[in-house]
Amino acid sequence: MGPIEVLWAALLIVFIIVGIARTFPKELGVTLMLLVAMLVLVMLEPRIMGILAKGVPPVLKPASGANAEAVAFHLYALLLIFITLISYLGVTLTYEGTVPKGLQGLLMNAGAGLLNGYLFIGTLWFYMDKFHYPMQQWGLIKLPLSPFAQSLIRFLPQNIIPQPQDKILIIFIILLLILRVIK
Amino acid sequence: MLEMSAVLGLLAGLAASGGTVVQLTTQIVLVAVVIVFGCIGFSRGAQREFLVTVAILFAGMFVQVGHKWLLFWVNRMYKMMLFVRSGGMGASDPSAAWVKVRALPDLIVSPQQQLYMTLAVFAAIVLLAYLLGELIFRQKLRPVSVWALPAVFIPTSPHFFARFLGLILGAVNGYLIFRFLVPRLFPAAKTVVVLPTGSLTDFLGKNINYVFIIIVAVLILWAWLASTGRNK
Repeated sequence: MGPIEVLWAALLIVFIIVGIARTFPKELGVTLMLLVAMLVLVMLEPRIMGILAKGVPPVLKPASGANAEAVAFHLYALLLIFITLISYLGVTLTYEGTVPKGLQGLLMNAGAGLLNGYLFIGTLWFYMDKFHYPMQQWGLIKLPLSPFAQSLIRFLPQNIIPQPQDKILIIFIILLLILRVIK
Repeated sequence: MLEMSAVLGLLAGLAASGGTVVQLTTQIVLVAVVIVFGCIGFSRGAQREFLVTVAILFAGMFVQVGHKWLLFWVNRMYKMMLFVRSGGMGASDPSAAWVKVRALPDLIVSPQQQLYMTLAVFAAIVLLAYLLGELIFRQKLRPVSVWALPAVFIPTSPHFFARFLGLILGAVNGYLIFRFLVPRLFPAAKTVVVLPTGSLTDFLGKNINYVFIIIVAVLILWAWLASTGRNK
């Protein structure tokens, strides 16, 4: 597998294409769900880390290589992927309105896709970095990271959102919910 | 206050330590302020700006003439608030509570505190006028394209009264605000402002996250307004 930033960029392009195909009102619903997922991860972190500090449960050992950090990362990633899949495949939370035609509409759709991609892939990368890239044992990530990739880490969503992150995420979620219910 | 020789010594020291010495005359600052307020007036229109002109004149006079009255009532209200917090009339012994509160020092005593109070009252009245203008005069101004800007200055143009007079009144407001603030904030003939740009850079760097988040939020809101047709 190539450098992580190339993988990241490729996935972002996929999200942009998905955004253009699904249009802004549907993508905004995914944004809301991704923020909820990020909030859940932030709130669960002390509990998950507390449990793992006592030792990796035996049932998880064969799958994770018996490493607490790897277990934590896989739990986080599964939860994030699960919520994201639900928001894309399940009953979609669609906002009202129609996207304007032409370049403006295209930019809106692409922007929404880009934002969702940034939130999803950025969150995954953040936890990968936090738990010291447990995926490297499968050869999916090549370490050490390039200087460019290292410089990107400080722009990941969890590094951008200031503390207290849970409160700021809640404010954003409430604002997006208000936009959803306004008639 | 620093003497002139001390000021020159300070500047020389600053230059020697690798710092940049930028000299700003009062006129340059005044022109900048007038231009900024003129632009605000241009976009808000004459009616709204006139309300602000009246408010600035009133606020200037009010804080000048009614200074003692204001000081008395601010301190009085402060004591009343403390009295209410200590139980007020519902306290077991209201008169003892009032005596205790009266013995406490006033909120605003020193000249510095009085200056802050004056500036706060002035700013509150002027800001209120800016907001009231938006509420009272709801009718939007005719939009002007960049190419039609010269027409604003032609008296027969439909933009002339609203835009041109707004520009003038805005500039006047800027001048009046400057005229009010500068003698109070910088009473000396010469002011040396030492700006620690290192920490300023740190500050700007630390807050770039907030700027990024605000931009994303504004873009989301803009797109939502566009998609729901509320931006028309």
